[in-house]
Amino acid sequence: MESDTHPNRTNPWLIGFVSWLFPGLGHIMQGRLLKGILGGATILLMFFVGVLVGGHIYGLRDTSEGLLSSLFGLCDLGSGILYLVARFAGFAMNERPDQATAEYGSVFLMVAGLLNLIMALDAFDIRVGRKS
Amino acid sequence: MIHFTLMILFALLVAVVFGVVGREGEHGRVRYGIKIFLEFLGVGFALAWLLYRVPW
Repeated sequence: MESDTHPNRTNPWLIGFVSWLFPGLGHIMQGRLLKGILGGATILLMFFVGVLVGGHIYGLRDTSEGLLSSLFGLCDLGSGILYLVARFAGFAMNERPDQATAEYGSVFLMVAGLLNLIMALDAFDIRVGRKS
Repeated sequence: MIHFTLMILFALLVAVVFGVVGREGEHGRVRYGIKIFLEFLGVGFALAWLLYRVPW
């Protein structure tokens, strides 16, 4: 399942971009099916649990918590398509302080983004030969 | 209780991704993931105990 029988000639930057946009797809494109599916599904699950328990997505120009909000927004941006869909569809955009777990949810959303960035870097590294 | 469940779920999900991207090779991944999971739990308990003692 994790073989290199089909050498991949795709541009590594494209692999990294696709991996950021669609969690796990960068690995799947390189034949790492198990890694891609497991990593992508985990990030998806983390994102949806975050939304479910009341988390919200920060905007890059959000100032609700000062400069930290922009940093949180950058973390959220790491989720790729999930972030973009949430932004444009307008879900998970408002704070829900009535839910006791709302802050946990926001952390779940941010960490899902950060983990997806790690996955994208991993896919890039595999493509350029830094990792097997 | 929900906070504790979320902490365990958080540790589990992060450990899975760390196991996936780790450099430990096929056989070491599971062990590495379990190690990360237990470390998260240990640090979580330690911090919770410390913060419980702090008289805010």
